[in-house]
Amino acid sequence: MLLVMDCKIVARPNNSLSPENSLKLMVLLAIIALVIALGFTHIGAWLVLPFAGLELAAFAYAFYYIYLHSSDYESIAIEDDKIIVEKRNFKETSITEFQRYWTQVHVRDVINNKSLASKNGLFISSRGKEIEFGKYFIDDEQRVTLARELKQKLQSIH
Amino acid sequence: MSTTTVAHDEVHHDHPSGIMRWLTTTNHKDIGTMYLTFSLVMFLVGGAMVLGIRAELFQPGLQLMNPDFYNQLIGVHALIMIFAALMPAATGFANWMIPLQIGAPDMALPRLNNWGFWLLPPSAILLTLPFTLALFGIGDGAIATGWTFYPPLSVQGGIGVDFAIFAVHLLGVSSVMGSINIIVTLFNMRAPGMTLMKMPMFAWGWLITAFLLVATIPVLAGAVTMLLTDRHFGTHFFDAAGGGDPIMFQHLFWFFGHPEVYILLLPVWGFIPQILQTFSRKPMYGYKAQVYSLWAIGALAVVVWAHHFFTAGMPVPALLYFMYSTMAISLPLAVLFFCWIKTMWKGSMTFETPMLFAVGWIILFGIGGLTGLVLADVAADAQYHNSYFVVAHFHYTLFAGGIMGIMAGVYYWLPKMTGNMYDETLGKWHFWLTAISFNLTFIPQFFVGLAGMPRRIPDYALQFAEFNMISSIAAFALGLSQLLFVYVIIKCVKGGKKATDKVWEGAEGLEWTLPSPPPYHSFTEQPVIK
Repeated sequence: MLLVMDCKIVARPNNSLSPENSLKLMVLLAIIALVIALGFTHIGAWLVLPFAGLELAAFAYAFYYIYLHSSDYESIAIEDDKIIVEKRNFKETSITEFQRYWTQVHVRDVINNKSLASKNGLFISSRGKEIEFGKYFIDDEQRVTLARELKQKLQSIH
Repeated sequence: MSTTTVAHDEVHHDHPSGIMRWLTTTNHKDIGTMYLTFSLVMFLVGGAMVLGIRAELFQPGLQLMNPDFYNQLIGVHALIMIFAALMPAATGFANWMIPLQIGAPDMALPRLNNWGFWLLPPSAILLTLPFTLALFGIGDGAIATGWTFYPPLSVQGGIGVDFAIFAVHLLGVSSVMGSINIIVTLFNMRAPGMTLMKMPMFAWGWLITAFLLVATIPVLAGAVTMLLTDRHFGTHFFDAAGGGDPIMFQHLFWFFGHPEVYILLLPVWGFIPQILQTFSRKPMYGYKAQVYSLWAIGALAVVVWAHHFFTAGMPVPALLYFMYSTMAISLPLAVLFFCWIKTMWKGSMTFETPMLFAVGWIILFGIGGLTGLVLADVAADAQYHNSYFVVAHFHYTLFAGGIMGIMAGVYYWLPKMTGNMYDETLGKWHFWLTAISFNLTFIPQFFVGLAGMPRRIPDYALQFAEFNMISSIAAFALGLSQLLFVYVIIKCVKGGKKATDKVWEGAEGLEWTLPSPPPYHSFTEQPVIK
């Protein structure tokens, strides 16, 4: 009997600042810096203004950078006989599809001598195609747990 | 569908060893350690300079150095202590503790963090290099204007001024990088459930500091750049003969310079209440009142700058405005003092070294605050301006209020950082030696200042001889006491009794839930605040 379970797992970074609030914060910082810089420009110290501009440009880039990364995610969706792994990093989104019946999930040691951080990686493979899931967003323990859950779901169709 | 929210992106999975670990690290704890180590080294360098100053002032008359070299020591001592010792110490704590306290795996922009630190050593070299160059006959030594760069002296000065201007630019860039990182981290990386009003007080102190840096660093950068163009490119921003205004520089400098005091102190006002609650074994009193007071002080900090140069001459309404607005700072500060004392009130207090420093800090910083109130009075300031009373006042705020506060923080967090307990007996010795010698150094300076001894002068009238002798002997005792501090830190880093995760019985906060020392990557699983 074939048991099909719809399931989606999403891993993404924690962002406590919404894009709207980061815009508000940027506006607040701009008001502070520009009011002061324009005040000093008014009395003749105009060289304050370009430095205020540079500072705001740096802040704007920082907020833009975290905004672009705020929508990063990796997801695994199991839909009927397909496994869809979706990754978004910065502006790029990639989608990889696997045939559910032929897909294998395994956790493999990826430690090297220089790394004290992640010791293993969660890999999804099928017919010579392999992709790593959760390289950045989840830790070793979560990888093992997730791999076990995925294996169970894959086994449930056999 | 199940959705899992996990810890923030960790961009540093390689962990090089050796020197490359420190050059390329993006780990907040490594960078924090580098900031704190740099700060300690520069504290000793700045301290050595002031011992030269106090040796010269041991007796009236010129004993050891010519007046120009004396002025160079005065200026570079101040610049190093403010920009290279105190600010990096606070930034070091921010790097170490803010991610741990808000449940983030690292700072939001780790590479920026690395660059921010590595701008500091070149700045310190730029500040001190002119001393060495002068030994080889290049230039006439370091900046001799005091840390304030006032024109026309700074326009006429030697290459030391140019070195100092570029150093200040690098330090400014570093500070802006730091404030970008702090603001983005505190707003974007707080653990789920940690609302702004649940943030630790240290995080609040640093958030307001970061806003002050945003407001003031461009003004400083603009001011010193205008100075540079006046010196080398024929502009007359501050040259009265060319239609410029030297007083405008004072406005520009102190628009940065006064908030700078709070930039140095706000982080300390953040973690001192945490120390008080830990060793009083009571919840912090008046959390919201403290947060609002910190904001009020931050706001007032940028509108009171001209009290630093009442005597330069300004219209009476301006004098009155700056006097009253300056005095108004004492109101939110009084709220803070009340909350700090009330936190201890009827608590089960114990006096380990961090608590000794924290309580001593309240008393000594209180003296700094009260003497500041005297200087805020326009009529009184006409008498005290440019006297040793001012020197004593700002050392009570910046040494007692700043550096002794930082020392409290070092003893409080050192076991968490190293995993080892420091030597409590030596820590207490360090406190008492520091507190006593500090007071013996600076109380006499209040007296000679009140009697009319001017600052930044290597010679003085005979009537000030005894108090200066006491001050110089005590300054050397104060300096030597700090070697004990260095020894305690090194001993603790090398080993000692193992610290528990919580370290202190009354400690509260996320940083105490991690092992001591915390793992290289702090929160691999996202903590949730309820």
